[in-house]
Amino acid sequence: MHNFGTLYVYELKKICKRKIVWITMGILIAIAAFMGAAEPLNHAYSITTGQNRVEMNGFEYLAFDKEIAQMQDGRKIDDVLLTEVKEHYQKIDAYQTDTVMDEDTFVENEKQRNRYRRIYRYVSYIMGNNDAVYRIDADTLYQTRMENLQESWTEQLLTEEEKSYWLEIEAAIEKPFIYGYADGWETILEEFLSLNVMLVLAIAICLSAVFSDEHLRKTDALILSSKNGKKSLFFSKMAAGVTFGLGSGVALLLTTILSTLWVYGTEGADIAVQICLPICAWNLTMKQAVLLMSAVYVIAGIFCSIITMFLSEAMKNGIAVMGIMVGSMMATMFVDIPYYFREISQIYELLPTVLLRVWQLWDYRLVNLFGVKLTNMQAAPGIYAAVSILLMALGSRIYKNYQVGGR
Amino acid sequence: MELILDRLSKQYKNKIAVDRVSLRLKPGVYGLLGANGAGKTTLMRMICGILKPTSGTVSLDGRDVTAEEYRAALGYLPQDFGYYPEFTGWDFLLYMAALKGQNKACAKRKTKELLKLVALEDVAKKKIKTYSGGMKQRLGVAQVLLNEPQLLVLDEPTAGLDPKERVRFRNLIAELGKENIVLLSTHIVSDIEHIADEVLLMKDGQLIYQGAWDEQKGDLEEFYLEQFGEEGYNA
Repeated sequence: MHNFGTLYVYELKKICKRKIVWITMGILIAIAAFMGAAEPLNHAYSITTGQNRVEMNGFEYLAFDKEIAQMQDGRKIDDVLLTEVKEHYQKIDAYQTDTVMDEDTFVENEKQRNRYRRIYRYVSYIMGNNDAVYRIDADTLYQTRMENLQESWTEQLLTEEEKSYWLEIEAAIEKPFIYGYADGWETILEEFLSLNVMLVLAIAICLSAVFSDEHLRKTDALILSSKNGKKSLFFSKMAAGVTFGLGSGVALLLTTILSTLWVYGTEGADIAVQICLPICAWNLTMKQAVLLMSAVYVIAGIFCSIITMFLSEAMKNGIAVMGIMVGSMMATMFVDIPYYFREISQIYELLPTVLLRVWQLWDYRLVNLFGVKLTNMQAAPGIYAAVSILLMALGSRIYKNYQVGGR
Repeated sequence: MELILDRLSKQYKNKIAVDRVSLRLKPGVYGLLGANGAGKTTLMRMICGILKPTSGTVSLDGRDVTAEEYRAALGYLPQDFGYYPEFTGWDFLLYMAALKGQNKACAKRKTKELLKLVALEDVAKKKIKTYSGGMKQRLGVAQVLLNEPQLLVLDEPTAGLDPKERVRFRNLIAELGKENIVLLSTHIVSDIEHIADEVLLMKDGQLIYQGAWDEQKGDLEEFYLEQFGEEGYNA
């Protein structure tokens, strides 16, 4: 009997019974839970217009802002809406009165005064100009967005073939966009970078000793001289580590998603991603974008687990492995390779600690894998799988051939 | 059943740790004696397949040392080895049983039996980190026996055992040696005198004596000290 299942359970037990694992995961899950509520918890707001002023804590302001944002929910960003916005901002000074109001009246007045501010910001962002709202029409808005896209394509040194690929996708995106409040989903998209940092940290701390500890504790002699110690055990250890990576990744992800949606609300799941990320060319809703990032995040977590365990066996030193994992993760936070060095930059963008940045959703460069054109996020899982198989084969060889000597 | 070592050697850069050792061992207890650095542990590691010889072969009834079937018949107690501190004695033995290829039912039965045999059944559910040195050593002995091995390789098995435990252990070894090959190394000459059917004496990587030892040949300890001089005292 090769007892893969039994050994897998024991290996998982070995990982999970370490005190450092519980401490690390406890702290990281607490951070993940806090992440969603960080903005309202850390800020207080003061709104002043004319002689009137109101103080709000983060959560009160969030509710206030959400109500304003939802005033235009479900409306098409077309000429009708843009004309309303223009007219509103032309007479906005009328709301600014020196009359002292009671707090409720003032807050209500502020809501009405700001009822188009999300559309105003959206137009300003695309046009790159705060005054654009006074002279904009829908055609100009969408035309400018397209020009922004094409500018990015040029900047990213896209080939004509790649441009045609994206033009085709762009054509399929329904316009005019329908506005909707989706702050919860947008915040989640922005949190993936921090989530990934936390996951890599958890994996580095908890899995770096999976193999090295056997050598350090001198249990290697026992296991390598047993029937299943040379083959089954290696894969049981790998499977247990991958399960841990997957489990901790999902735990951190769910904590973040739930806490964020609890704070911001679940509204906006089905609006186009372009409402929050105007120059994104993917034909996705916010919910789909979060799902896509979640899948990539989980796959990257599995990949990092395999790299960590491979290094644990290859180096036989848990601290060194932890140093490499955390060090390389931190390096990728500071290093950015310009688009000019296209191949190197594109390979760099495929690293698991780089791939989860939200701006990957507007990285238009494609990877040609055996004639199939894929974006970085589509190509990464396949590349990770291939590298993982290679690392597993190499790791298994190193493990099997280890010589217990010189003690 | 026969364990065959054929011109087994291990060389590290400019040092020969084991030098062309050839042996044919049938069921019985073999006591391996030698000073520190004589090559006993290196020889045992090669017999257990965890250290590759520079040259030579090891086989048990035609099964090569690198084969899974060879390891299935092996029980090894290393000289200095660790445990999983967060595991209980019970968990540790079940884990080792899985490593040795036993099914769950058999593993549980053997674990229970062996914990009783090594007098650890009362602390079976306690974490190993709470065990004394002697208790850990007894747990190590129990794991050797899990797969009912035909070949037992025991490196300093009596280290850490108190005199009472040592006597119990000697009896157990003597019993096991009736049907299996038991190779044990120790610094304690009296252990060998009491239980070994044959004595193997190693010096500088070479086997300098192999054979049964009886009273007619004199005192084994004296012979040992004669061979090793100052080294023997330090061993």
